[in-house]
Amino acid sequence: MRFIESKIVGKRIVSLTPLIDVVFILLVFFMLVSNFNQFNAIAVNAPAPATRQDNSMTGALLIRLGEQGEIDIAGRPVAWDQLREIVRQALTEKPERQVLIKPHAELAIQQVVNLLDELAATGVTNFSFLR
Amino acid sequence: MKQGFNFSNPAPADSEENVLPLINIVFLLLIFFLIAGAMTIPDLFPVEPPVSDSETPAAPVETIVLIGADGQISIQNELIAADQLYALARAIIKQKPLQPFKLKADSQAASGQVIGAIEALRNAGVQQTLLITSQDD
Repeated sequence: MRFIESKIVGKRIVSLTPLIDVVFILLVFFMLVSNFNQFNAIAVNAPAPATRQDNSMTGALLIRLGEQGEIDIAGRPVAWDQLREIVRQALTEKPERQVLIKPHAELAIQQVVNLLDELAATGVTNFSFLR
Repeated sequence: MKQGFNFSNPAPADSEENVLPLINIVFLLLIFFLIAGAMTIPDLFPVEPPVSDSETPAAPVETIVLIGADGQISIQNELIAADQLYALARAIIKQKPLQPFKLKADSQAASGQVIGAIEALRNAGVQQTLLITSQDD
């Protein structure tokens, strides 16, 4: 009997409305603050200063990107859709051959990332940038 | 004339019981946002990373270098001049030698500047630089 009585009294003292208020405020806070952006990453290398004039660079495949995004592989102009084929051919003899990428200084980094995607599709792992 | 709803009826005494399902849902949403939504410090200036097919998720890295479309550079959310990057990165590397760096550059940033930043980090002794990309959607 006493148990039932205390239960009723407890229910009257603890009102749910303030609790709901606080929980709603917390909910709105976490909705505004949380961030669902999922970013990916590409590991990049610049040649180490010691190896810059080193032998590791000789025999490397040089890919240049022009101001308009045009590609030039070892001095020969190449279209974007031929790129994979030519890089694949160049790497068949020496798969671990280093690829050097030298974009025009004013070119948007998006173009360079497009090139990296193409290179990744052909299996290039050893690349670095030149200025 | 009386028509429509009758507002004069007082709510039943146990009306609080009716909001319990609502509270349940709100609690579930709260827990969802707590767990699923990562809280991150907002970037100092807007940076839209380049779109890439890369599917390597960016691991949580403490040190973030931002490069804006207009050439602004910040490290650890502090605006710096481009030539300060080497010294500041070196100071961080002295404390934590194996610390990887995240490089979040805007897709329209000049590649000369981004590569300059990569070189500066490399020269400062950074072992790993991760170029942040976003997925095409």
